[in-house]
Amino acid sequence: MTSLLKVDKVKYQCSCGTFKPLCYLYFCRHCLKVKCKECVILEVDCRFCPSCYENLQPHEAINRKNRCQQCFNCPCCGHTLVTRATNTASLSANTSATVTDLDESSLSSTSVMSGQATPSKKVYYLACGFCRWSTRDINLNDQLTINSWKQQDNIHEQRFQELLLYYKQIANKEKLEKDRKKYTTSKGGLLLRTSSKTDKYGLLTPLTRRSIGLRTTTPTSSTTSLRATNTAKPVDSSTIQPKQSTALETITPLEDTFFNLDLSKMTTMKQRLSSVEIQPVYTDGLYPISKHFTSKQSKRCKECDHNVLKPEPSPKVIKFKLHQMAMFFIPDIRIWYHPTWDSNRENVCVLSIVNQSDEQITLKLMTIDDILKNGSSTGIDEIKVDEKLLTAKLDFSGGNDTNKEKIVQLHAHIDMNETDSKYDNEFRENDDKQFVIWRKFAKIAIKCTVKPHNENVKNIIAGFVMEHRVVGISSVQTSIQPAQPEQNSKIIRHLVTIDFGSIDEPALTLHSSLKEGL
Amino acid sequence: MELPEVFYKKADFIETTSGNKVCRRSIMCGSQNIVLQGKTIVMADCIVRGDLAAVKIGKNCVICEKCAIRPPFKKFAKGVAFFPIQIGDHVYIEDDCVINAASIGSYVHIGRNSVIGRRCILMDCCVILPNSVIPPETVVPSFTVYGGSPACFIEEFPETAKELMIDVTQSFYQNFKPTV
Repeated sequence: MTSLLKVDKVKYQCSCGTFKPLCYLYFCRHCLKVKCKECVILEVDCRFCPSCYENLQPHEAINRKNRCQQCFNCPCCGHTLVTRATNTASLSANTSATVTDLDESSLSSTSVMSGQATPSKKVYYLACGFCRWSTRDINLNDQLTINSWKQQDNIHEQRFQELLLYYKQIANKEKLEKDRKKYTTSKGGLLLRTSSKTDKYGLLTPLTRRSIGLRTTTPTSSTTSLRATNTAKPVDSSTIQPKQSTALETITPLEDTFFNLDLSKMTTMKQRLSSVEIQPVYTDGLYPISKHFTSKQSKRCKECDHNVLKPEPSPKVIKFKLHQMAMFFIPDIRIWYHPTWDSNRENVCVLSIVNQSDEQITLKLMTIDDILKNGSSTGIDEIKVDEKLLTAKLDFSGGNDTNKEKIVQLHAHIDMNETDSKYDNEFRENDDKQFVIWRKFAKIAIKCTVKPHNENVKNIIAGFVMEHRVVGISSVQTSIQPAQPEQNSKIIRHLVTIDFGSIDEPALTLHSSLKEGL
Repeated sequence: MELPEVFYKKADFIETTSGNKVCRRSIMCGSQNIVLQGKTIVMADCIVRGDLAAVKIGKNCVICEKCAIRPPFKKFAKGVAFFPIQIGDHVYIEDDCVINAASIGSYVHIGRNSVIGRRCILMDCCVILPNSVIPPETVVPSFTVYGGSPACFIEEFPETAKELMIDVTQSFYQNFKPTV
């Protein structure tokens, strides 16, 4: 869908300075700023298997190492393995078993059919539907129950545990030291020392408890593994040292037989690294890989710590509890028409502006020159324009008008089915017909001119600035002062860059509805 | 970029009362088993196998040229059985695709020349890149982009997928006009 609309052609500047398409950006209604993926903190809300959609509690998922116990990936091609059921009718102890491959659900009928000879046994094995790899290829015995496959033993398990324990200790120690520094400032220190008197409401209890733990160096962490080692004696945490790794002095040379390899039996680098702990060299060592869990994440603004996105906790639901995407607050700009480019003159282009928000928007459009000349007005965040990015000049007045600022009004977004022609007329009458050439509901088409800076320009990138008012959410609302709706509204500016593509690109076909206006 | 206008000959398409536009050159086998909910476009040389099992396609879907939609089958001891296929609303299937899925959610975009294997489940708001092969019985989760052969997870898709897809399918329908 992004490829159909070519959303990466028009980019908006995020508050961190990077340029991203509007559909990828978030909008924080508390600090009234645009945020990109790097400007938000991710929080895992729910973990689930992407194949069977099993939803697990966080601690349970961690216990299972964030891997599903029922779903496996093919070690050969990476596709999901399918459980296949077979009927093994053991005729006699010595004869080989007759095996009929069937789908899992068809078992009941077949067991009845073959029941007359000898009691048949249901067995299961895993097979890949894409590359035909199966657990029988590595001579794994078929299982009597579904998904009773054991995890491969990791030979480095003990070493990992040892290191993990050590790192946890270091992390814990660092955290305590950090906390101590935070609260040993003059006021904080005083508060801490006299906490028993001042902490009337028990707000400082966790802090006091932590500080006691710090002074006595008794184990205070809730980590079970740590407690298990420390309960016996309150030792200094630095005493537990993992075994040091040792450097090898001499390396035995490779044997001559090493180079006589049968490449058909060797694993590829990708196959080897997909199971990091084992890293099988030969195809015999491949083993089904448990599927990794995926997660639904809520996103939080790094600046004000408020949520900008919160999904519903159920993995199958695509709704959001909080859905503050920039698209719903900022008008969306798209290229509608551009002619065959001529680097010596001003090329007339058409842009469309769509308002996806529920409120009417008055939009002020300014050229880059205006911004550089006038600077920012009071109360509006300054915009830094890097002119090196742009290879063409975008103008709204065709170079004739002295008043270069253009003001347009946009209707609130409505469902396309609710058509009401009256809606258009009031705004259409006030429009500058030379500028706004078409209007329908919350969408308008504007005419602009684009002139490349010089003849050597290969790729045309132009930019402009738009300004509009947004209404945010006031974080502190006191009962004494009645909440005023305009209180937290602010005028914001966005720098928008438009990549019109290569100068050799042919003209876009003009939309029939635009023919009158252009 | 806005979607371009697509013109068709009025004689080539049948328009139903609910706004479906089906090309006369498409093959709709067992049409009594095919349900198009409304405002769905089926273009030339498509094959929809309603004779095998029921095919239900939601609102505002676009099925481009030379696509084959075939209900998935399952092997049983006594033979094979076909299962109905369900496609949600606002689904855009590009040219030359073969669809064998058990269900396709809403707001899904399938790139051109892709193969969706037997009994696959495509959840809501997912994207399949062009020239992908999704092996049988794969589940594609929501807000993900899958691609390659065999198709695997490529990247996450933004949370505006639903709004983008509604925009794409609705403006495609509006720009799909008969030649005057």
